[in-house]
Amino acid sequence: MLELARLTKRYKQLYAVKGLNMFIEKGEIVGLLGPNGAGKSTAISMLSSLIEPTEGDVRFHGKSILKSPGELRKVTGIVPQEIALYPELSAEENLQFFGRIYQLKGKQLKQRIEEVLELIGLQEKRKEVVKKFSGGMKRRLNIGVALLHQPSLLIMDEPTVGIDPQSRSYILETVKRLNEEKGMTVLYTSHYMEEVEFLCDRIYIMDKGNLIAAGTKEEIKQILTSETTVLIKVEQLNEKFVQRLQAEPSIHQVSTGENEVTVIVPKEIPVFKLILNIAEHTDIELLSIEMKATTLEDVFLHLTGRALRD
Amino acid sequence: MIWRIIIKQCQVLLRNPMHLLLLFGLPLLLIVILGTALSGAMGEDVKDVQVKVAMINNDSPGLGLQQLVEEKDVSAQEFAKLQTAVKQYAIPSLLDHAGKANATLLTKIDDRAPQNKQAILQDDSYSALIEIPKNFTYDLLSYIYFDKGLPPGLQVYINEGLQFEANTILNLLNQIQERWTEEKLFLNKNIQLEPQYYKEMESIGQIESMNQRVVTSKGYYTIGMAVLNVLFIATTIGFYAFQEKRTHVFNRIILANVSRWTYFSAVFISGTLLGFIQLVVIFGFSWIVYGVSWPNISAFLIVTLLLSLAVGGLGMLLTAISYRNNSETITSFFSSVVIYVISLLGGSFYPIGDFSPLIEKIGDFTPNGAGMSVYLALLRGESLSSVANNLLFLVLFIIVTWFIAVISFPKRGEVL
Repeated sequence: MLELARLTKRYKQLYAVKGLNMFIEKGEIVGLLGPNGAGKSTAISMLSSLIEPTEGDVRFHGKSILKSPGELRKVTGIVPQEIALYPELSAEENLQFFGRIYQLKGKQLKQRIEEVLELIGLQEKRKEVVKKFSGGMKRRLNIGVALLHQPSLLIMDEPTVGIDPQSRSYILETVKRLNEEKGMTVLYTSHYMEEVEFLCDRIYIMDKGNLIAAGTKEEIKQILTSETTVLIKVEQLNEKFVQRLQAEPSIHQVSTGENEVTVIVPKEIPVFKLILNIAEHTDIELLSIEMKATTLEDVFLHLTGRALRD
Repeated sequence: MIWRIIIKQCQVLLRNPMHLLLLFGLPLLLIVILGTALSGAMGEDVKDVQVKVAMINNDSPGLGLQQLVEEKDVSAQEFAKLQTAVKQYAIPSLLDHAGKANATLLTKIDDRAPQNKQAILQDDSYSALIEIPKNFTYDLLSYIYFDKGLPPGLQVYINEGLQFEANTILNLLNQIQERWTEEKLFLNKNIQLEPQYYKEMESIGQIESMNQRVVTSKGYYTIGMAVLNVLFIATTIGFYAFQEKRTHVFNRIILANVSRWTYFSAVFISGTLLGFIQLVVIFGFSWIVYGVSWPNISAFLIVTLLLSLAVGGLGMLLTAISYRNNSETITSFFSSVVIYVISLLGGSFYPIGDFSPLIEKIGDFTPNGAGMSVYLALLRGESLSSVANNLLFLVLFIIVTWFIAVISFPKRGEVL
């Protein structure tokens, strides 16, 4: 359906996106993962025809959209990371305006507004001005606007940033439903691994403008088959302990949280003995050592040496 | 599609009470304040002076003239001249002329009999009593035409309770006496006086003699505030448009397959429409409250439309530059500095051009200044052709802003 070939965007000497190859098949949900500044939004802007790539091509059903993006735009709904709405207008007025610019009129527009309001759960708030909405309600309306013209491809750029867990869950369920019931193709970008794990069939992982991994969830997790992720919880974390872990040649990655450390080690290493030994020498009081199932977060840590939210 | 975007711009403005107040309420308030406070500076605080004068005439001009003719043996030509002079120098006539010629002086002269003198002096409604002595005409003509004796004196009683009015009369009488002396001097030197000399004499103290309508301070500041505040429509439109870029609403519009030129045209038309509405509201207010009316409505509407188009062009230019720079600094700078500077030059706060023709010229090269000149001319009752240069400037301004805006507006792929 949609194909990105060696897509590159360069600003002077800085590569925002470098040689990105990617495809999206009809009816699938594809995740584009990466930390802030990885190049996800730039990639989305290029594939939705908002900015022109420095190099490479975007093909929609085999045809380049760089010169004539009209066909792609007609069937694409974009949910930007920002709340792209008029805060002074009500939910209904926003939907009316964007519906009209999508050439919807009269009964058809009215019907679509009803459907969208129901889908995003804002029927009761239709007359309220957007600036009085909570963050979650704004996000839902932001999505609703993109769905007005019944797009077959929905591109969502970090649609759950800064909202409460309830709204987040509502949005994720809505996306899943749209895909399952309407067969909508979705490109979902996020830096929340759990969202991508929940929604996506296939995943692309970007970092610093480069594509560093691609495949199904299982394929990506396979990257870590020879290694184990270990979560160490301690009473009071100290710098000495972390430094000793980082200095240990058999430990591949170390990332720290509040009184906890995650390490990736080869499966053949006697990890408990090693950790107990380091803890003893650095006066650290261990609370637990847990062998974790591999997550995408672990894969990202393995590939980049950084946690996704660093 | 353009219409849809324009309606939305109006909706957004209507939902912003602060913007509405600044764009529509503030100019009206400023007209009231400035129009009232600065009316004095524009010569409007000179109140009409009502002067009631009583006159006791002990002179008999006919007898005086006859006596002079008999004594001097004048020719027929000289006799005719003296006859004219008798009429010309009659004090009631001179005071009456001076009063009529002076827009602010209303004189009422009561010709009273000598036996009423005491009663008049008791009557506080009179500002002054002028008593013309016996032989006044004889003495005056002798003095001016035959260089004999001194100019005749007038007995003047003033009402000290009406000091200002009484002084006004004394001033007028002094001026009249100075003219007699001047005239005598000219005749002695054999200088022929032009008829204009007499005409000038009749218009002592005259302050307004033009055939044009007078522009009041309320009218002036209605125009001044209208052409100033309409520029804020351009910055408001620029501000809204940049908000659309900042919040990525613009991207949403573009992704709906709306051409950027459609959006751009909507910005222009919104600015023009809102500018027109604002001008009509301001001038409408001034018409209803202060009676500032336009002698030629169609000319007024043409100018208002042209100025609105210039505002639309300016709004479009500010939008294009802020999109290009990805910053609303230009719009902020324009609304906080440039508007006030060009309004000062254009004469919105004070007719500054009266002090310097250079400033007046510079002011005419601003959209508000050009608009102001045209409106003032129309309010004075002049025709559009008399301000063709200003109109031409406005047309050029619209074209230039369009041109610069079009070349500055980022093309596809440049906006994010």
